Amino acid sequence: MDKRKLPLVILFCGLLAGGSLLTFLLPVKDFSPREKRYLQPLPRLTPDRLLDGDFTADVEKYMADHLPLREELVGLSAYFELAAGRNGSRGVYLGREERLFLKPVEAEERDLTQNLEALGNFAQASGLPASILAVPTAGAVQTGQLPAVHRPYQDAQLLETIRQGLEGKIDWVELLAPFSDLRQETLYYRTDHHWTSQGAYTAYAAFMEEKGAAPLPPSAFRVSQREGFYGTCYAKSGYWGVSPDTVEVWENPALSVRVTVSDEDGGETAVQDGPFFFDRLDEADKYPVFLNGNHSLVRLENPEVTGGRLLVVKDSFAHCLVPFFAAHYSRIDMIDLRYFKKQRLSDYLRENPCDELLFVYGLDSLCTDKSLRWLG
Amino acid sequence: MTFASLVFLYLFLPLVLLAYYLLPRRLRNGLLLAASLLFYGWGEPSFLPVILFSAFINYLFGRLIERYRERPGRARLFAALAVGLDLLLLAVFKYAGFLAGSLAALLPGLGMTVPVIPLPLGISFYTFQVVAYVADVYRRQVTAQKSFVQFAAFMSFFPQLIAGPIVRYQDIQEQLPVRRETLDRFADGVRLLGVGLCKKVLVANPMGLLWETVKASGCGALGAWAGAAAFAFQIYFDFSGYSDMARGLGRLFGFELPENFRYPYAARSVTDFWRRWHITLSGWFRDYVYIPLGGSRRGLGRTLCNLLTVWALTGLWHGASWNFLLWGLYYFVLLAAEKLFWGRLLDRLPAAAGRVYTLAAVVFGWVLFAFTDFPAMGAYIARMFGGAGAGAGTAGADLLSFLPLLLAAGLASLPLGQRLYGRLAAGRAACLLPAAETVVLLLFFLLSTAALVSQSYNPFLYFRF
Repeated sequence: MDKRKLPLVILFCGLLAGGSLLTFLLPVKDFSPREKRYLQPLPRLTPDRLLDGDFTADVEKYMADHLPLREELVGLSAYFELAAGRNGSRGVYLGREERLFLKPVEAEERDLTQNLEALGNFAQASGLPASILAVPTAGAVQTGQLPAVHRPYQDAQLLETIRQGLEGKIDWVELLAPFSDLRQETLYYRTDHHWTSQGAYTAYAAFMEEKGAAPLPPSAFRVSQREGFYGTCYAKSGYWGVSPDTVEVWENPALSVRVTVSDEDGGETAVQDGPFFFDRLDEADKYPVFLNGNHSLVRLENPEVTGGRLLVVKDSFAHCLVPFFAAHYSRIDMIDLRYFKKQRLSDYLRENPCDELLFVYGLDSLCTDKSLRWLG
Repeated sequence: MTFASLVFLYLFLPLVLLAYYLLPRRLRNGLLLAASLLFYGWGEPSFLPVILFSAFINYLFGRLIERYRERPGRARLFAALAVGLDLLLLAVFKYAGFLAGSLAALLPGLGMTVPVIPLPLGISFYTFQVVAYVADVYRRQVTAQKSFVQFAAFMSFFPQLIAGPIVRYQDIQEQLPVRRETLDRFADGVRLLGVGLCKKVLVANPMGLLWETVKASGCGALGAWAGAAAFAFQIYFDFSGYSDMARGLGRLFGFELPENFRYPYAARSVTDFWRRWHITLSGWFRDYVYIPLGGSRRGLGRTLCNLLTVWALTGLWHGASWNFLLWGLYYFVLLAAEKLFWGRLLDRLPAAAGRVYTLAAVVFGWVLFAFTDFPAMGAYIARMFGGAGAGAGTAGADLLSFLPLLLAAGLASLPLGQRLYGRLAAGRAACLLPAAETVVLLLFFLLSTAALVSQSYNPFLYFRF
């Protein structure tokens, strides 16, 4: 017997025993804050689930979620692949200056066409003036910080397709050009795919100018900052070494706005003064400071303003943007089709008449989100 | 269950190892049988009756052949019945849907409905094992196994059950009743398991990802060849990784399983390639089809006919689809041509020329293997020969980021590492080698576990076999 082989055998047996015992003996966690997701609960064993393979598939997922040092292992895997040249192995590139980028949008032509038809038809049927803010991805704007090797960002072509597809039905507000002019600024978060308040302000200004109105100057806002923000790109990436981000909130001290947040699934309706939910800055994901994150319907009321009523159909990019509009509209209804399912939007519009329509979507949602086709 | 899964590594394997070494020897084969059935039924319990039925009839016919040894007519009948039933099971589960589908496409007037029959995991592997067993018992090369538990444990032994190697009963018969589990063998088992796991999870899976990306992109010739190379690496590292893991796992339980791959991409001719690729399958076809048909002893015409049969069957063994038949026939043509025309020439050429020719032929062959859809295959081949320009197109960034792994896989598929190891072991630093090896293997296990926890791309390629 070769004694020098003993350490290998002992370490191997230790690895197996340690891995299996700790997976099942450590207390069960149900949420991973770093990865921003719920972990697989203990699989349910029923004869049906056993026979069709659901049970065994869940056991594998459970083990992946509960193996000891899970987050460290995910990080190890991400950094190992990065070292081997495979930046972006989990869908997120690590760029220069610790900036994380989602990989380019992979548009399915059929999905995009269907979405554009749904948007155009809805806007025409409503008979209201409508415009769209289609938000380019960070990788197409903050190009100076992209990693050396990356897939090409096709935002310019895709945005042009969208503009043409909606021509004559929905007014186009150009964002890629003003964003590109300001690419030295921080228009997007480093650790999140969303735009910063500065990015949203730029879009707001472009929208107002397109309408021939004057936007409020940046000096009209009181800016506060909070550090320690880890966004969704960070959660997805596995690059745990990236330092946290800073969230900036641009508050308009002259404005008093009442915000009502409601969900379909019977959750309580929250009412508060002002569009910012500062207690959500205490969480790791601080983006819900803006209008409290994802909900089916959020209403902003500001009776002191004489402007009209605006209906915003949107994804989460709107959360940071819409507070800027509160100074110009007496009522803004913000609807997220991913959660707004019990009523047709045209019926809602009949019960809650508006004067103007605005669509706010990130490029990714426009190309891939299937909830858009329920517009009607 | 597959080896490259957390359930296997951190639940099934530790429990089975623990139970195995706690139990007295006489109960160990029974435990292995139970463990193998659990392993087999884990994802698809509905296939358990099929494998148990197959085990039972082959055990029974083996005993019957033995018993009626003195009456050759009966022995022959039982052997024919057993082989017939085995092949019938394989035909029904694996080929019935394919045949019906092809027939329905050929004669749409019949209005046939094509049955959808799920393919039991590993049926091609274990059917070949039991056919060989019955044939060997009939040919008196082995005596029939008297214990059903031992027979079923041999046939369903989980390390080789779902992706080979195809183990002959004669290779393992002496190890079944008595074998010595030693620390040395256990350590070698750990080593093979670690290397195999690394091949599968850290090389084959990412290579598969690159192949999928290239396939879906609109790349030109360079990209298409690089993509085909990625698929060649995926299938080699996946398959040989599984075989390494199988041999490693066998050793953990004291078994010695046959080698299945011997650096096939270092081959100097296509003939040489097939001596190094999936060795137990080629050996099976040689001993149970080619030689019984007369091999190469009955003249050129008959030899070619035998080769054609073997390679058509080899192709179809890999999957019930026309492209696998095409892939098999492609090798028939190459092997026949080497036999008749340029085999001698290859021997006289420098080794490098033979290697380049073989690699080009094999990589092109994998494209025939990869596409069951003929129009897609045609489009891909057109791209390989410049139908969409010369460059890498939109797959450029992905190819660039996988370049280090492509190079590493290329080096690892040649016997360079083995040579280096030999030189180190003979050198002055040899005493450091076991420690270094331990560290490297531990790293393999750790990185593979990390990749599995990340739930990255982890396909199972043998669902068609």
